[in-house]
Amino acid sequence: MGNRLSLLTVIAIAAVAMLAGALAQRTLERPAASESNFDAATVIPEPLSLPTFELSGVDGPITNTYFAGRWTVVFFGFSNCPDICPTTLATLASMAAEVRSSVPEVSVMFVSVDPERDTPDDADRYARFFDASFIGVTGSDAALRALTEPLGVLYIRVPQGDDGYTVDHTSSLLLINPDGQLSAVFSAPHDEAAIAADITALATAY
Amino acid sequence: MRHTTKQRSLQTLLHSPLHTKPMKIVPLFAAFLLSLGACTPDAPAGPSLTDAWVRAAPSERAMTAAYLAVNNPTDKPLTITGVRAPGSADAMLHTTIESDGVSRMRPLPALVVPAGETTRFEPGGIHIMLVRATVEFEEGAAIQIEIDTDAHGTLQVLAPVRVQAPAVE
Repeated sequence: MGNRLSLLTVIAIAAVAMLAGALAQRTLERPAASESNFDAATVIPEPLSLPTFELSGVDGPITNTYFAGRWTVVFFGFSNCPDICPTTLATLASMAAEVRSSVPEVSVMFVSVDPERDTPDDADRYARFFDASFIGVTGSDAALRALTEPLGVLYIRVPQGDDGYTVDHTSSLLLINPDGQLSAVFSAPHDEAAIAADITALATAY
Repeated sequence: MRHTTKQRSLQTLLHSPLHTKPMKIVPLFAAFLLSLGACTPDAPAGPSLTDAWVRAAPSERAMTAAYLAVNNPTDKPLTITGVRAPGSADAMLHTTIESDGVSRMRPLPALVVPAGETTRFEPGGIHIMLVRATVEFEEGAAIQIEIDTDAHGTLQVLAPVRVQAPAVE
């Protein structure tokens, strides 16, 4: 577990370093006006196919087909999270309201990585509290890992208090394109206006 | 009320014949006087809580956080020894740490606000975790927040419940 985590950490750091380099180069080169600038997104030049997964939604299984025909931001969290999860979902609600005028098919999927405490119904109600169009899903650890592991998304239960625990989790948001491919990643801290502008630009150019 | 003398002198300055002349030094001097007023009031101001708000949460979950600023204008460090919110069964001082792309929430055993400084509790950082609400954390409601300190008793503030963070000034 430790080695695996260190390896993932190294991969994450390398990815951030490469991104920083690429961004620095982009800034230095002063791209032509026709080229899009992305303030929040790390855009993947060749969108990646997602692993095959099946999670549980309130109305049944949610699989790769959910993403067809829409732009979806995927956020991994849990509903017993008092700070970063509601903060991120509130940010995404503002973002979606902004994007919707130009990209009506924008969607947000909240994946609870705490299936022990969140049923699909809990996850869905939690997500919809922030925006009625959001969807909340979860699944067994095996079902969650089918999606998270290939993407380098982490979640770790950490004991806290007498018999409780918190869940450390990846704070980056994933943007899935209407072909169900990973199109971009947004790293924390999240800025609703920057994310909205980047998604609008990506969707318009698609 | 304490600032009456300084306010009067400021008014005198602003309305003096000098002010009719285009002298940039006057507003600068006024700002200087104001800053003096803020730093050295006649009686020393005690610690206070400001900019408080609570994130709205679905009532059936009711796990949320309170944010505020702890101002310590005194010349001694202020130690926070406990937090409470009568609207929730439990309240805890926590912080969110973001590292290597992973968000981690950890308890904060103690917090010291240095002399003359303000410590801000903000989303993604230090926050008061509110557990098991006994009232609805609905937009428009207000939650009382209490912070125990070592030398200044309990500080209180009423925190409005909001879905979105207030705009940063």
